Amino acid sequence: MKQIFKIFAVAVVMIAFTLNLNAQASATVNNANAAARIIAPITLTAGNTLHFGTAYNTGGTVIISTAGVRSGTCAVSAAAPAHSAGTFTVAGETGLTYTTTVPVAAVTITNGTDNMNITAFNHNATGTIVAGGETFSVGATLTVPAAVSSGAYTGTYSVTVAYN
Amino acid sequence: MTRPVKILFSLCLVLFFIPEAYSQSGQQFTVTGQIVAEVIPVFAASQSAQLNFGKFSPGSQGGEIIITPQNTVSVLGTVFHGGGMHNAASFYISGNEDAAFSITLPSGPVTLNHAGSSQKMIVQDWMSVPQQGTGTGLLQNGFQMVYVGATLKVGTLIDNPAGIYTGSYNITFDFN
Repeated sequence: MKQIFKIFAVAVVMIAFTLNLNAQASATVNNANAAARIIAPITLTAGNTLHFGTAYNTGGTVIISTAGVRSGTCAVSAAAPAHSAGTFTVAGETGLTYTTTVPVAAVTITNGTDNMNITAFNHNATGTIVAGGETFSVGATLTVPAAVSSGAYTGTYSVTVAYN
Repeated sequence: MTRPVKILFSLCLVLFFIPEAYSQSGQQFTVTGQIVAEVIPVFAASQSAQLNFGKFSPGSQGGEIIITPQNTVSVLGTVFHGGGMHNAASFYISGNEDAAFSITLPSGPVTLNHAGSSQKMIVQDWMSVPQQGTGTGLLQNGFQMVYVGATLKVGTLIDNPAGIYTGSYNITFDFN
């Protein structure tokens, strides 16, 4: 009984010692914690809409590159010049690296009961936080079904940035 | 539970949860972007009916045959129109609902060639409904018919021997 108690006492002492170390480190770690709090959280702000412009309903694709260049088999070139890549601004702790995630699965945009799919999302984020924030672009491919109803189609997609 | 053990558990809980809470703070950020696309029908034009002046006889002096866009026929000079098939031209224009478009008719005469000789006739004074001009066409419900008429200049029987005369012309529809 006495022996068991001793073992327990030793265990407690060891843990107490460990905790004490932690507490000691905590004084240091307090500094470290203070430093950790200085690290700015990563933030992301949406900018330009991913705008495919106007397309003929001949069936085909409209592609918006991260450079904002439009191509594809059914894009209207002259009548509707408005189009743009999506843009996002990422900010945080300068110099830290991050990963950007764009949709992998098809995203649907709708016009009433009609819909079209957007796939092949891509981005040109550098992966490293820069001072003042970095604006990167998102491109994708719109598939226009033949004879799909005319009108404006809208939808949303998610973009995530995370510190590595 | 003894007092040291309680303290131990409490400290362990504190040590375990603080780093966990911190790791979820500010590590990632997700936002929603907007997507927009507009779809319009293909703007298209096709000829539904040929411009056909029908059968006629020039007579001694010749003259003119006028077909209006409304498909009424009138003659000038000694031309005798034999009736039968004649048509104003018609074109089917389709595209985006309520879109305006422009019509451009031939700016000058168009030549019709005789099938069996080098003789010719001239078609001129082109007219249409809707009228030629910028934005004069309107695709109500996504389509519109455009009707075209003109005047055929007919020479004498020597100038224009019997037979079939054919030719072609360009009419342009601009989607504004």
